[in-house]
Amino acid sequence: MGHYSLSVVQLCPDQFRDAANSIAEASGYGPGNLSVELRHADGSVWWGCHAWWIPAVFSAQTQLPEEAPQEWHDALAEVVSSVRDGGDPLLHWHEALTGNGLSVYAPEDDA
Amino acid sequence: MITRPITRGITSPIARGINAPPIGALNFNAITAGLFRNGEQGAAYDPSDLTTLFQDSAGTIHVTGPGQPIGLMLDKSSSARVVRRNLLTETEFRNGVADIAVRGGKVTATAFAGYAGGVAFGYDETVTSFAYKQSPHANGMQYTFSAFIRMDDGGVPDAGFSLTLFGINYSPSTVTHLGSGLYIVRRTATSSGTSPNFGLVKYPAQGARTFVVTGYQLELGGVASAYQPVAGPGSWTPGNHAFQATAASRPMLQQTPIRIDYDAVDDVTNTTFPASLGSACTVARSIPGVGAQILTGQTVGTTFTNNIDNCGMIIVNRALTPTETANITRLFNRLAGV
Repeated sequence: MGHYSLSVVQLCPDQFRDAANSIAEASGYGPGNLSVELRHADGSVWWGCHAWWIPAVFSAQTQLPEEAPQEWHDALAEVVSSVRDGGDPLLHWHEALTGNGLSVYAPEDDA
Repeated sequence: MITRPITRGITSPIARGINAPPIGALNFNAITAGLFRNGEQGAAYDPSDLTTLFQDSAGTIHVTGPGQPIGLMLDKSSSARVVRRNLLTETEFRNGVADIAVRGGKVTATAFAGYAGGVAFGYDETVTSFAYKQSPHANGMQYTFSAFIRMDDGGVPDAGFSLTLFGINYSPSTVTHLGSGLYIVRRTATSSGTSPNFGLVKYPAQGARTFVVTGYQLELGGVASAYQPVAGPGSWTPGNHAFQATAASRPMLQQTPIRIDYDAVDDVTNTTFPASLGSACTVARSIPGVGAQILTGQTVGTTFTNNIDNCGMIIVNRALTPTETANITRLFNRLAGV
């Protein structure tokens, strides 16, 4: 069995979140993977997640089946992935967010 | 000149107090058994016990070591709970050949008296027959495979097949008669390679004796334990287990100290209790590198989520006695590596 050594942060605009989550669920990764609500610097809503992957498995997650709906292809094109070998997941997460103009949404920000 | 006391002061203990734990009792299972002996409600999770950890929330893929995700943690608090030892599922082929992950040759589903079903091995001079279940395994670790077998000729199953572990064929190391022509055959071997196949195989050269099998069991370790039937995943053990069905939200098992490690981004495990545990709960965690953290007077409803790294966690719907507090503190400090 391979090692879960790949730290992967995935970020997605709100309008593609459901489709992206559907892709993950159809691939056997369960529901709602993109679960952390984010805000872009431009005010738009994004969603993100962090996961550990086996490198070979992650590399294989590049192609959708031909019969996949167009919205899945569209969503996959919009998902931003940051990939690192090991390391501190929280640090990776924060650096990926910062690098993409994102921050974790805090409800009090709307108050 | 005498500078040290030559007699022990009367305040120094020379014998353990009657409330002190017996020597050797400071282990997770013993402490948990004591906490829940009067029907208390709650949960107890022990990351050092790999038999209680699964990579998927359905409980089909065991965690075999550090660096693997945790989708299911079994609750050790229930006095009725049986620790799952059998790593296989649908062990009695109740769904027929659909429960044989890899098969070939002359194998068919059949009834097997006393069990949900079985697999019949026929004979053909030219084809090899095999019926395998699959399980991941950790190289270098010992595993024991066993199965129930009944020869069609009523005789001893001392020939006519091999046991397959990790895709490698072995002769049974033990053949035990259980009565009325029913035998259990077993083999222990050390894991190697990557084949996930476990079961029986019959080559043409092994002769014409046919048989039926059921009750496949694969367990960690070199000692065969009593057969543990497993139907579908999660069908065999009660308890307030902790789940995570979403891959990105699963914590990892890590070591030194051995612990459940949440990524502080989105990892969380969820427990659902049959009823609210109330407002007098104790939540105890072994915090890695820090030690025991015992929170009293906690309110726990029907759901409990955790995203705090721990080397063990106990939730119980009452306050602890001083002795319980001391015991858990010592245990959790030790588990935390302090």
